[in-house]
Amino acid sequence: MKRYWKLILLVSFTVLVIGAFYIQTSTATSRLPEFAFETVNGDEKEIEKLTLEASFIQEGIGDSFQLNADGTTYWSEYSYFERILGVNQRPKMERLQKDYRNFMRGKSMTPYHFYEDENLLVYVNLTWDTMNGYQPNDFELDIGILDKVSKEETSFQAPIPVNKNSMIYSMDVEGIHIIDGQLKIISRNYSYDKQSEKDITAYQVYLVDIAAETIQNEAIITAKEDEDSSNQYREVRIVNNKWEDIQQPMEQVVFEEGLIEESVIDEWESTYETIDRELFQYDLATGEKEEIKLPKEISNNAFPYAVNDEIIYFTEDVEGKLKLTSYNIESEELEAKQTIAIPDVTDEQGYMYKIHGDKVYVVPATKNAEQDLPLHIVHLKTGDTLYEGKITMKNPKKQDIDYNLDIHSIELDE
Amino acid sequence: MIEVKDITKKFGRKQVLRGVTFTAAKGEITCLIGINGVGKTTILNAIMALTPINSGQILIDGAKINKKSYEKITFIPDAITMLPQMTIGQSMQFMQDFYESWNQERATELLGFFKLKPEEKISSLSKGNTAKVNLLLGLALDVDYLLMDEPFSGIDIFSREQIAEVFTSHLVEDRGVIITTHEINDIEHLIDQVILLDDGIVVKAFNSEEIRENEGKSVVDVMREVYQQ
Amino acid sequence: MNRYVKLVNFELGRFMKVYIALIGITIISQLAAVIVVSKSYLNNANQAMNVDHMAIETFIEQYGRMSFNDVTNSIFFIGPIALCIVTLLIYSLFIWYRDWFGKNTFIYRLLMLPTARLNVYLAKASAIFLFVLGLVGLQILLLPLERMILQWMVPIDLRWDLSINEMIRNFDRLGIMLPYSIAEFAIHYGIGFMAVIVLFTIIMFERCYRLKGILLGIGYGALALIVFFLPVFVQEFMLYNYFYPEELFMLMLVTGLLVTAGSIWMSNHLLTRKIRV
Repeated sequence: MKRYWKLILLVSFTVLVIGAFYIQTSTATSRLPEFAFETVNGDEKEIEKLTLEASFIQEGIGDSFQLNADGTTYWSEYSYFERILGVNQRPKMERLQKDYRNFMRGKSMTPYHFYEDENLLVYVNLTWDTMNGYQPNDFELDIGILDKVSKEETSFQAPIPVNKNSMIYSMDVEGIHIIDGQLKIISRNYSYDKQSEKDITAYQVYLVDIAAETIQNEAIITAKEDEDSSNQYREVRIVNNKWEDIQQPMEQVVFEEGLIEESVIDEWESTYETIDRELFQYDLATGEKEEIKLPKEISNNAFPYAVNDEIIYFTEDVEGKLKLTSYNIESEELEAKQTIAIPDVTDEQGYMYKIHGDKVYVVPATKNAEQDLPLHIVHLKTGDTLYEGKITMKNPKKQDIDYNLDIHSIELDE
Repeated sequence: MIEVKDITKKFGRKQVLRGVTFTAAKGEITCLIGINGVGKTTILNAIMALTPINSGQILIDGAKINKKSYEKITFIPDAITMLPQMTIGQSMQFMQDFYESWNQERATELLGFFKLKPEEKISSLSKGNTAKVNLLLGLALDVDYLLMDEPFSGIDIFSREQIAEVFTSHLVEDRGVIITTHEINDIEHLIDQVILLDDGIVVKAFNSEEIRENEGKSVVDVMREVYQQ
Repeated sequence: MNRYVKLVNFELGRFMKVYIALIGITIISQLAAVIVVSKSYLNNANQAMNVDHMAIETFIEQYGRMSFNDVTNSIFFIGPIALCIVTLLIYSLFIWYRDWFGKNTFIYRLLMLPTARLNVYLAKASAIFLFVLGLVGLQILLLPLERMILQWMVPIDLRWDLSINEMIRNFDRLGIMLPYSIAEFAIHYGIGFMAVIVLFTIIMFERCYRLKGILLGIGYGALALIVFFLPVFVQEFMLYNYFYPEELFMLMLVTGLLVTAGSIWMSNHLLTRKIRV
């Protein structure tokens, strides 16, 4: 045995040291601090479905984490397999992958590429080729339809019809709708009009013939030349707060068209101001457009953040306070006007907010060791503060005198 | 018995062996003779599976060589098969570690016979002593067959005598030995079977004693006949 | 003791002197790194506070506290790691070629051992693997020691203490060497082992067919690479995102094992049938 000392020594040293190291790492408590919601006022039920994506940085070192009512989970606390197997991406997408494993194969992880109702799960994604290395062309819709009841799957590619007079150079699919059993897809098309030699942004609606696997019909919802004059340009967008969500059945789509004026301050800086705007709603079944007349109380700077049934929520930053206005399209009346003061939020700190259902969640975007991180949940109609709390560090240590906590997003489980 | 059956070997485009066939029996010393480059070493390497052959077959006691064969047959190449930084003692230890057929008693006897010191490093040995160590490592194995490649080349006269003495001793008794050489003088009187090789084939194979008795020719005489035609 | 174990021990012995030198260089150089970096930080602090009359808070604000990151970024810290890696890479080739070249013909002896020739091959691979793991173990032991020296040299007000884990995580090269979990460790070093086996197979090709063998070996290496990454190629270029991550992981586990087993099989074939001295 004595002659094998080299082997015995090296093997036992390796096994012992590396083994001990991994036993120690798996049992050692992380030095990263735990954060928690501390309720000041209100019902703790309000934060049950709330998750903040945040990161903690101290002396240039840190890790990102999720904070919810159960506490803090750092990224590094997940096991290797949880991390590579993509645990904790988006719960909504995970549910789809779990329930419709085969259908979900090879599909993008972007929630708004999907539409879901009781009977159908529809996937629409845009594909294209690149000409000359940069110029995209041959746009096609990659469509997949799953009948949730019969489990029948249909998938096909539907080419976007080519128009002789204008050339599409970019496209986004923004709406997937099933109306009376018909698949309608709304896209934003950026194109160059050959006759007028101008860039045009248009919203188109494509009616898909599922049986024939083609686009049966296309219609323009709105089309505007991008540039109005040298310092003014037009912007058009769908008012929707569902970009992080799977698309759900709706009847009306609200659009905002704005005229923006650029004022040049100097070589490096400009300011932009909305000088005119118009909101209209598009009826998916009839294809009719109807202008939404806004009351004077809603200024041009109020941002149409979200549409919830017949209510449009406008948000506006007024001297560091979040001003929220609810406007009812049906009754054409202002429903409520709330101003949410976020106490002690400094300018550079800023704040983040999210409207979900008829509640708004507001939190400062960042904090250091001295600053507070208050969380407010306010009911949009009544203006009542449903919940008021603070994000605090559990058992702070002596060395925790200096750190930064950044909030990246506010997530709400369905 | 070692049976070499019709083996051929090419190195690149050069055909070194063109169908060599011979057998070497246990208890006999077989000598492969031929000028340099005729493929003598290649034959020994092929028997030990140290080089692939292109066709033909080699059998050792009726079976193809396998890992267990190396306890039964050994090869002493013309250079030492141990690391230069090892001592003679360590080399012997290595052999003892790996070979069941290692005979420590015989190894000690050979050590005394060759007057070698176990603590000497291989790298510090003279050419003659290196050859002796090489021989020792092969001879101390209780094997049935022993292959030696040019055991006398480039060695001083006294060492040669000592090595030649080994062949008449009990150390090679009952074994089958295959030796290659291009100079026959030192061992002519020892060998039983002679295989003359030329241009990749066996040109003549004979028993040295028989030819001496029947035709009154020495091995060198036959070589002269064959090679100087 | 079976012959494979004896061979591993023997292979360890053949490299032991160089190996001990590597260990020595690593220890000395990394300890020097701690001392040099700490000293220069302290000199800076001394200059600032005693000569320029800077308050300690201002100094920290300007220069930051000293942490082990400053040490790991030093050339004296990375240098020996790089040296060890390069040396072991070169030795992965040399472990074979040293038996063929030079005055001795040790390869005769290795190939004539009464054991499967694959044992010789696996012993060499195991030796390389053990050398690597031994150095990784050394680094694990050195880290707390080096931290102790730093803490002993730099007063608490001026330093920022890190846990061993943080020391590793903050330095990506150490992070590859010592990943988060034992599972990742097994994967990293499993891939490493596969790479050594593929390299050895390439060497076997060269040793069997010489010049032609180099081409065959390169071809084999390319094939091994393609087979190993086949699931990724399929995922990226043929069936866009078809596989779920866990499926991709399983497939790569399979192709990895396939490449390793295939290489060992191929090497065994070459060693028993095609090798030449």
